[in-house]
Amino acid sequence: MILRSHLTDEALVDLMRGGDEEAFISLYRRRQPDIHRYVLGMSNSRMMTEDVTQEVFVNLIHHADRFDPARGSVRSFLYGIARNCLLQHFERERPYVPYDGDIAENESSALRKAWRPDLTNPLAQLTTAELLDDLRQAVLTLPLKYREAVVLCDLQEMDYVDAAAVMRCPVGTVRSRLHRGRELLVQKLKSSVAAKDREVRKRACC
Amino acid sequence: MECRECDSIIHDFMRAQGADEELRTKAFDHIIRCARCEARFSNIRSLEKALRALAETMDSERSAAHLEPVLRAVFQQQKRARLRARSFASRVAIGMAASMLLSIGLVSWHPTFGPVRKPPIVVTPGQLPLADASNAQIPEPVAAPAPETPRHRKSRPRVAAQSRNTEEFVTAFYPLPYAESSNHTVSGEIVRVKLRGSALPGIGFPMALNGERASEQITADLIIGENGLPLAIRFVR
Repeated sequence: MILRSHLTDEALVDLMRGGDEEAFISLYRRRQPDIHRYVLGMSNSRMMTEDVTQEVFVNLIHHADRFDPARGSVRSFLYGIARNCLLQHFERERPYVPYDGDIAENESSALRKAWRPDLTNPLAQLTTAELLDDLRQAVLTLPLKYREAVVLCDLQEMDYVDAAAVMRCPVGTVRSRLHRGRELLVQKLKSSVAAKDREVRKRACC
Repeated sequence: MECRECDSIIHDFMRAQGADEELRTKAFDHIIRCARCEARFSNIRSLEKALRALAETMDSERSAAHLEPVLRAVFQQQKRARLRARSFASRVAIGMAASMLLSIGLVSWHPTFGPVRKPPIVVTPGQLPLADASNAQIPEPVAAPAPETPRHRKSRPRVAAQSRNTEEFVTAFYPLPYAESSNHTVSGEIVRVKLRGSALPGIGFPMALNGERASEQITADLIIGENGLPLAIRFVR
């Protein structure tokens, strides 16, 4: 009996090409979280995330023969499929993600009251749940090429080489896009923090 | 190090592959001394921490377990389709191989499709004695089946094929003036020709057909010698 959990992704793809269903399921369980997180990070839509995740693995079932180990890892191959599916979805739906920098009044009021901006480092409080939501929204408003770099390199913790394989561009381009995306995020979050600061001060005055 | 240089690597501080150790140390020295870069660095560190926290939040959101049965069903369906396609392909391959074998067998068995070999035929008096040309009966050839030897069958495959359908009557070979009549033997290739009755004297046959029969097409076998001259003739009907 083969312990599939110990096999490499490439070995699992080989087995599933031969019709081994359990090998496919093992690969799915191993790689689904990555794909799910990537698509969710790019779209922030649970429905789209599930659609694209399903499409990615159905695509793998139908086109496992297209995987060439010489051209990259299984992980990169799956990300490549996910990216194509995502771009098709974006093209079809052209989603509009609103972002006004303000948090809705009814959300996280306790956190809001407790929150005090640190003026020396306005982004220091970003890890609170409330501001994480801001960050998520900020990521979604990034232009696609910068968002992709941030999601792959920061949220997925992928190295530049793998990210370049997924994004089909040189490593230097990934690096510059990531830097630019981060700069944009810092700007957006700073303005968000400043807006919150003004609001808190206004309330304090009243 | 200047601020601009520091800006170019500030995002790669936390990445092992981003900048080498020496550059990192230089940048760090600059950050300690430059308030602007220190604030910038602090912001980026906060952002990285927040992005990591966001990634962890998203980790807890994986909820695609219900996709597994759907994917299993798709996999099984695909597997069945592949098996069907494979068996169809193997059937097609077997059929093609069988038809190729059949056609190869047919070609090698059927004499008309086989290679035509014409070895030179030596006609000896014992086999085909030359008759006297003065006794030749051209209009009414002798009603006798053609003497079929294995050599004849090989040299005249079309005649052999024809003889399966219709019976052929031939006369004996009559020597022509070009043959050496002294030893009554001729050697050469047998060639079947069609010629007008009026053309017989042209090849040295001592009789000519006159009147309506002069234009009649006559089928005859000629024995052509090595020098290309007709040595003997027989009439075919």
